[in-house]
Amino acid sequence: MRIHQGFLANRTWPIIAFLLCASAAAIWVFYAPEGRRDGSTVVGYGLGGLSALIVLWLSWLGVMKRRFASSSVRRRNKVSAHVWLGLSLIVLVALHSGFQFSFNVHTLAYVLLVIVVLSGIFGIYFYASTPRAMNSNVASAIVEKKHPDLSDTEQLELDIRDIDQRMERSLQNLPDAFRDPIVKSRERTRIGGGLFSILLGPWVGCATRRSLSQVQKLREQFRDDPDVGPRVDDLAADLSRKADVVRCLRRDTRYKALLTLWLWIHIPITVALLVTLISHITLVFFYW
Amino acid sequence: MAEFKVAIVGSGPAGISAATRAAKLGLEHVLLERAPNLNNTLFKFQKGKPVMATPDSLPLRSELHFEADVRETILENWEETARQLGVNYRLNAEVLSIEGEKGNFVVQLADGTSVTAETVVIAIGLQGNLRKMGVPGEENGLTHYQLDDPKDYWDKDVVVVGAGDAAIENAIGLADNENRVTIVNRKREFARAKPGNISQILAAIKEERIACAYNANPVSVQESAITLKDPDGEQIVRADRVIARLGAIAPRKFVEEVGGIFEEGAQFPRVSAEYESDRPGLYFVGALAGYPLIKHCLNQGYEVIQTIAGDPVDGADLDVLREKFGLQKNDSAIYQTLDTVKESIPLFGDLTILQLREFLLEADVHAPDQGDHIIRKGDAGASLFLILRGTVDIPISKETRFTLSKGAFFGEMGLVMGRRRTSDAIAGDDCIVIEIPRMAALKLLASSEAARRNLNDTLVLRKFQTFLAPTITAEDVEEILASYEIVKFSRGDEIIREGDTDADACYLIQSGSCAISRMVGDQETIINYVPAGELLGETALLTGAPRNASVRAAIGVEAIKIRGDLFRELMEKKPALKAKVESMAETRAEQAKKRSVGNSAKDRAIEFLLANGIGEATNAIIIDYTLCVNCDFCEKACAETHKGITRLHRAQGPTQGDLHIPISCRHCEHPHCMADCPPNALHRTASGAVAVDESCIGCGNCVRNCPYGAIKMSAVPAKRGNLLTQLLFGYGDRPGERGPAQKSKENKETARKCDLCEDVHGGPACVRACPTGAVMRTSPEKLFESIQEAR
Repeated sequence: MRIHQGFLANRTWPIIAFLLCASAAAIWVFYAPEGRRDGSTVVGYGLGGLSALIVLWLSWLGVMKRRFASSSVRRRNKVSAHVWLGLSLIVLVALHSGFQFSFNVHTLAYVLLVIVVLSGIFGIYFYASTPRAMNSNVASAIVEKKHPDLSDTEQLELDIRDIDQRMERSLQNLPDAFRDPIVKSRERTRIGGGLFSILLGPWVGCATRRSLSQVQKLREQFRDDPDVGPRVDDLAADLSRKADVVRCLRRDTRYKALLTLWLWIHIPITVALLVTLISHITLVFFYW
Repeated sequence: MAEFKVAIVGSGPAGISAATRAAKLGLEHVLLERAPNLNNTLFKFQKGKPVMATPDSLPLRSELHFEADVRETILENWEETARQLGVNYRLNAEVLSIEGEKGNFVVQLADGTSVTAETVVIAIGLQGNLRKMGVPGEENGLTHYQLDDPKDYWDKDVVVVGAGDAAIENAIGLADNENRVTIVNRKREFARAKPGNISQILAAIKEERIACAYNANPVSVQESAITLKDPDGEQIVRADRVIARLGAIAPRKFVEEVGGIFEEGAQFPRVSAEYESDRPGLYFVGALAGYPLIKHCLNQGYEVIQTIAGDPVDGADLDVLREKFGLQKNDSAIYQTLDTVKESIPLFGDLTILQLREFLLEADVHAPDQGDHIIRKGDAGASLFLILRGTVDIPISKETRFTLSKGAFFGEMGLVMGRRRTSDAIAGDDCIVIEIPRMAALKLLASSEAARRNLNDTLVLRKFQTFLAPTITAEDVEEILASYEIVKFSRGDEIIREGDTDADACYLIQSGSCAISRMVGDQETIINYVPAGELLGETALLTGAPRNASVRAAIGVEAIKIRGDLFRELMEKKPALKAKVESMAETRAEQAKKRSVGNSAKDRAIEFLLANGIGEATNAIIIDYTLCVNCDFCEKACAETHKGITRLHRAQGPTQGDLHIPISCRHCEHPHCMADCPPNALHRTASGAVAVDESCIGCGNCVRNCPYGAIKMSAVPAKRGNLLTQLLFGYGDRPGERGPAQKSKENKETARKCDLCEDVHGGPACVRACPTGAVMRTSPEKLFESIQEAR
């Protein structure tokens, strides 16, 4: 059941992009008065100019999307245009070049364009696939919202703090052997970090899980102690909940990273593309 | 020859003001008080009670000094003034009867003595005649009607019934003394009390110092508990004491015996503009004349003595009214105007001239040119318009238009149902209309039975005319108008049950909204959502078949129940009506058939939205969590369009499945926030947004009143840092970021809430800013419709 219209549900821009590519291809095939099909023909200049304009407009999205008060067009439709026009560039630029690729700055510009578009395709993939998993991940881990003004992640972070404090207090009534796992869980549990710990976070070792197994081993020793036994059970329950929450938050961090990671390629390469594009245009006029 | 020029009965604010004025003027007077002390009304106030001096705009005219203070100081002041001026009073002097006539009244007292006076001023107020709850068990000793000192109770369960000033003050006093207090409010908001009291009680409820049962009525009193009925059903509340503060009513028997006349349906005796009753020489002033506020009482005591002394003065409010009606200062035509207003407008029929004056103080008088739009279809607005002169055209459709004339009212749909204006209203020739703002109109309906009845009658008639068949006249529906009843339903209550064979009524939804459902297999499936203003249950009356769907209240619903047999008769008489109902039934049946497919995801979604109050929204924000990438562009866009303060909190708020309701205003049909805004800074804009204007004083009432946490208090944050100044001089905040607000007198914390980006081209910035299309702002009708239509 979907009542919203997502950026991929827009039907206008895919049609425009398709028509653009189809008509460009048709012109390229059937209209070659000089007998050549490359960048230096009328068709080539036309396609090149058009593609350059599209590239500039697409790059401008990064600025445009932050101008909240200026435009009445929905960002959703702009993103849709960005996606489909961006994809069509692969075709338009290839036609523009007349498929003349070699080791020079002109082909470099095309390669950079392909990298930008490919990273964009990853972006589309993650934008389409991640949100549901990401949002249900934290929402399903919530046991009780303490205050309506807390977001789901804030509530989970609060839960961890609460558990840490409770475990700290419980130390007073537990044998010294429990100090080590409790302190380790508190001090060595990390969420996020470097790229790899973010991406692999949910699956690599977790200090709280290790503390939990340590406590479970210790539990055997105090099983029959009527005073300590139940306290250890509570501690194990707390650690187990904390481990779950921590894993959930690590998953959340990973999802958030997936949603931005492609931009680390998309944006710098776009800048590189713009620079190469300028040199390409300058060079063709002087040295071709 | 009478002993005194004037005998004043009752030494409350009105009586003592009259007596001090008489003493000052040197009139022979006597002040008769039933209690063993002067000023018994104030004396009986809770100890240390702050007394307020409302209405602020009314000038005070009395020998007595009066400004907001605590009970003790005021009592002391007044007694001192009375002593200094040499007021002649008798305590323990209960008046039994008044004989004689103007010039020689004989006032019989309970101790067997009597006094004679040329004129008599009755200023006994209402406090001697307190209103009862009228429920079983009331007399078992648990219930008191007064609270002398909250310190008499400690660590007790106390239930305070009522929502007026007395009830609120008692509840707060008791809670301050460490009692567990529950206050029972029959309505959904505290509208009757003074603003200061309202904000105090709401704060106490928010902080959980006092529990509050809204929309609750006492059903019975047990030995140490009270049973309440509220929208969620009946509940029993433990009580060591029940304190019922339900106000007071005029002691009708006594008033009639001394010569006062109650007009039909009126709560107060009839008096002239000089407060003289139908018995010449006998005056009623103060609360008994319909004026419960202390300042009014003081003024009236003064004025009545001026009249008796032969040097009459105008009411203090009259100059304000003269200005509204475009009259000169001291122009006596204002009396005529007031009479005309009262005579012309049946809605005011129940009010005394004095009460009318109070209402008109808050009203606006318009004299639009012929052809001017007074209201426009689709505009939001909740004020009520009354036609004083001329006509107003209401074009319902191209073919049908109604012409309303003198005495009629319009704009009631906005007021009662909280919906947008359903039609234009165009001024006719030489037309004068009175516009009553929402709060005053609600107060009028709350205080006048006749006004309420008149409004409901008109609602029913107009429903028939505008929606069903324009040819229906008041005569056609006479029986229906005489027999309909107003029924209330709590959230989740069943109004109509699917399969019922003896359909005997249909319902006109007056406020609130309903969910229509059918059983599909063993699963109840919601097939439609119906807002206020619709007629429900007429299909079964037409066909005689069993009810084909259930109707439940989505939030608290008030409906007009129309008798089935009468409706059927009317359909027989009016083929146009029958045809209309038939076509409506057909479309509904088709829709029902199409939608009667079990779909648990849809059911869960609708239930979630209804449970979170979307049923009372007019424009709610919903986020689709399958599209939301948590970029918070919606929040950023909101902040950027509103001086850096976001009115949307994306990550907060409830979630169910893929639907998320972030914290932001949903612009309720009957906004909770508007209930008590002292400067009236909250209003509905023409586009339907509930917005705060510049006059906000930062009291925080609306923040406490909003059940959805959509209003926050904040000051405007610092300007955004500039890249160059930061880079070159290290001055200012980081580029693009705003520092915390610098609070000052000019930049204080005021209420901030969503205004649907009124001044921005293209609609709400949050919706426009979302890159993936996850944010949607829509009305519940459209929302539920699209859920139904979704695959």
